[in-house]
Amino acid sequence: MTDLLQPFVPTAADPFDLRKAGHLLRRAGWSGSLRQRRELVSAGVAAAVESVMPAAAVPPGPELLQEAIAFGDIEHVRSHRVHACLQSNHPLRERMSSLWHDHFATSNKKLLDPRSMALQQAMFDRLGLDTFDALLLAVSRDPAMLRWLDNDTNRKGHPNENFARELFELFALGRGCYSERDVVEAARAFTGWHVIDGQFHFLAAYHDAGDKELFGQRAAFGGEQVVSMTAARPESARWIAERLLRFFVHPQPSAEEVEALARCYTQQQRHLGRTVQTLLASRLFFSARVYRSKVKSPAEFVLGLVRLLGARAAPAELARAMGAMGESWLEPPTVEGWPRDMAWLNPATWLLRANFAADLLEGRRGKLRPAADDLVAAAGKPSERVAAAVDLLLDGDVTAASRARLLAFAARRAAAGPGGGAALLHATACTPEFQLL
Amino acid sequence: MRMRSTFRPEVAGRTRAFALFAASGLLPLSAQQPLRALLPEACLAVVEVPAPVALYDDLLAAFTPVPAGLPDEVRATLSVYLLALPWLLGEAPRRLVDTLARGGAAIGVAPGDGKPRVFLILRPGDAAAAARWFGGHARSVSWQAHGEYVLVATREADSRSLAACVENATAGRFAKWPSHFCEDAAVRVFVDLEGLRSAFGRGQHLGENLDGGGRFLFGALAAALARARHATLALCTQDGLRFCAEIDHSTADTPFGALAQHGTRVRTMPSPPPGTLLAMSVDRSLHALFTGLDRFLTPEQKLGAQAFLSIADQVDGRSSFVDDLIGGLAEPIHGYVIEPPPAIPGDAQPRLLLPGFAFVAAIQGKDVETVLRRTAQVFTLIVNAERGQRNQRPFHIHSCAEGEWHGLSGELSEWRGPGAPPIEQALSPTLLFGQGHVCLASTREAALAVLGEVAAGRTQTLTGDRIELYGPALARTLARSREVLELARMLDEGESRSESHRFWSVLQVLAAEIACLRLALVPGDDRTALELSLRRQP
Repeated sequence: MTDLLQPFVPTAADPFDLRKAGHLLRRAGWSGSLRQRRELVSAGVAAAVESVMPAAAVPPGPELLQEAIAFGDIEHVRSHRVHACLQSNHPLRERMSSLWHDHFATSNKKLLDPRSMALQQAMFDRLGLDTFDALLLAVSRDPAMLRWLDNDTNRKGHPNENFARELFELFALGRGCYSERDVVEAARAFTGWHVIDGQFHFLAAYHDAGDKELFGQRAAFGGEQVVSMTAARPESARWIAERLLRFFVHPQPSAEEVEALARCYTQQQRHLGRTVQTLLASRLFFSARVYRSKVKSPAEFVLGLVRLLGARAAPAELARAMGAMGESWLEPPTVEGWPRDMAWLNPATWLLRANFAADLLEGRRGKLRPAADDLVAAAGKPSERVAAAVDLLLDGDVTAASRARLLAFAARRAAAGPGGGAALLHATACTPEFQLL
Repeated sequence: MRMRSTFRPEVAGRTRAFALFAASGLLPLSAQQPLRALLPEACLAVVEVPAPVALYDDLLAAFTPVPAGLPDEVRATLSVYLLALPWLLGEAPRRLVDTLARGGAAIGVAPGDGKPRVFLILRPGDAAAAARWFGGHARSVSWQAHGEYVLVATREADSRSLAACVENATAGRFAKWPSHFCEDAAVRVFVDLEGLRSAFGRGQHLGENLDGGGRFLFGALAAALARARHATLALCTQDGLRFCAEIDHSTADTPFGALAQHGTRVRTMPSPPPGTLLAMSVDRSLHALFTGLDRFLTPEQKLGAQAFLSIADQVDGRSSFVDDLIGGLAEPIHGYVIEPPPAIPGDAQPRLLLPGFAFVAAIQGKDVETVLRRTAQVFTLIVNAERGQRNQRPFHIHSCAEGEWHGLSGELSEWRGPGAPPIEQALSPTLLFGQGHVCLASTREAALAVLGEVAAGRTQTLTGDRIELYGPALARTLARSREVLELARMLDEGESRSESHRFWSVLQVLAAEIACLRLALVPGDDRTALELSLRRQP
């Protein structure tokens, strides 16, 4: 294992403190309460990383999934996803599912099939931390994906290259790592992979069983072989490593970081769970370069704020708020998923974030227990109240400039009379630091 | 002069006997006057309870015993409140009512500066005990013992003016209320609608602010309310609970009155079949609406209606939606919601089971069957085309004959997909004709259930509008989809699973207790009555 991925060992100068516990919960989950973060600090870094990992190797089916499907509309399926993220005690599973939903972006805007979308999400929950080979094969047979990329019209003599092209370009290899001929031949291998009654069916009559030449090898490859050959390529290891690094670590990972994680991923037999666990426990993950290096997506902002405050809000309402900010789950804008990092922030979306925080803190978007004033010790001095707000929302870590502004705000508010906890927390949630992951 | 009275009725029956006595002139003037007569003239709404103890007993009988099926935590919470009530009140509730108001109570509400002024006159059963109770508990109001009365008001000045009214003993304007509506009710409320409108400067244009659908359904009632001078409301406690109201203006005598074809005439509707959870018949005519758009709708609403008609006419293409289809039906169309049929063992059912919806009407036009058949087939074609775009299986429509009924019915092929079937798997849209009637229903079972009543000649008579809810069938329908309904509250309201479970448990138990909840609007020649009645399961 390279130096970068060596386990992080806390020292007196660089302890595993509230900042790092908050960092772990933001990146590997959807944030957590102050109490939860303090418990992680007490437990230590190894136990903290262990705690975000799913408890069972093979998870049960998502709770109430069939009930969510029963409504027959995408809003309830989307709310069900939000509910799962809010309720999860081991949030990495749902976090990985959000990564794979972005990576294998499939939209109900085209499918108009909430059931298939819900079952695809359940598949991500089930296999998101398994081997990439298993995940990629499941995606290749996923009814929503097959219809999304038109593979249900891919038949012998009339190959549709859409799925095969995205498999290489977006899902497993990246541009420049395959030839046009590879796409054509892979498309032939996926002929007959169709959807009937919402389920995958292999239609032998539509399948091109002839020889194909793929990555310089020639044989009567079927879709399964194409998937396993693709996942085993070194370019795929680098592609997946970079994707994991962009998601968990830094928007622009260095070549050295990509190589290091690709090696780890290969050594772990492309097991995503073990690779991610190594990454989350690493020096790299807890390094200064990585800390608050990403911009929160709407989901990370909305769900994170709800969990940090311990608020109770209707998942349907939260899903609508995320959608208004540009992240409507199950309806990614393109096959490449959502825009990332700085693309999330503009004057309009920033205002929506501020308004969402105000609504939540003033009880218009859910219940806040304990109340905002209790959360920031309303009776205390302005400096104590700012410290409480910064601990609660920012792990006690804020720039001097932001702290000064919050102190001035708290002093003005204190002069106006008692209360004002919600206003102070709102100001804290509007700091530049809070927009960062 | 302070009034004195020997008035001590203990039950509603005695109150009525007392009224007869008073009418015969055998009692002194003060005792002849109802308590409401002593309230200030400025009051715009007055509540009178002639026998509060009897009312307490009747309400207790109506709401107890607490349904056995309520969740334990809800029963426990109720028990805690009931146990705490005597402690909070300082006395057992029934005894307190007897102490404070054995001889009756009247409440008047008058407009104030921002806040309403409230006046209360009580005839206590034990004046000394009542005074002690008010002394210990009524710190936020102004009260005084005044002869046989206890007078209470929200402000000191109002308390004095109330005392002056009582001393003058002149019958106020509420003494001679121009309505004998529900005279023996346990509670009566008298509302000066004209006074309310002039005090608040609004309400004159009720009905005109409604949207198109609102005007169709509620326009006449709203317009009647805007013109009425008085409203009398009553709570009757004999034979279940009945809330009744009457206004002194007829819905027929409003711009929207012509939407009702039957008006004050009695008509019939097929009886609700077994398993009905909701039955409704609203005396409104779509034909009248669509042939009088200028009369009933605003110019914008009219444009919307015309847009709808231009599409509706094109569905069939060879007939007029208004003249041939709606005009061929004897309106109103009666609606029924019927619980889903029992599950067949081994048959996969949707997790969310919708009840069946059925609409039935008598046919009066010769072409209705032809037009409706064509329309149904075209509509199915449109629906199936949309389903095809969503990769969903089509409804297969076929001719069907069931005994004396014939028509069209549709269904989906057997569900072979992953998980439980979708909602629409339980639908079998059906259009049946026979015995001079047509029935359009979301399921074949619902259509046959309603038409069974038509065939058997079982009918109900009614005037005006009626909506009836049958609790047991509703409870059974809720039970069939409980897990989905629970998730709905978790997702839409942010409730935890246990909270959502408790909500539906309570609702289901309460629904099962309601034999029938009826809302009726009965137009008269010069008045309109509204009745909401609740009958518990025996």
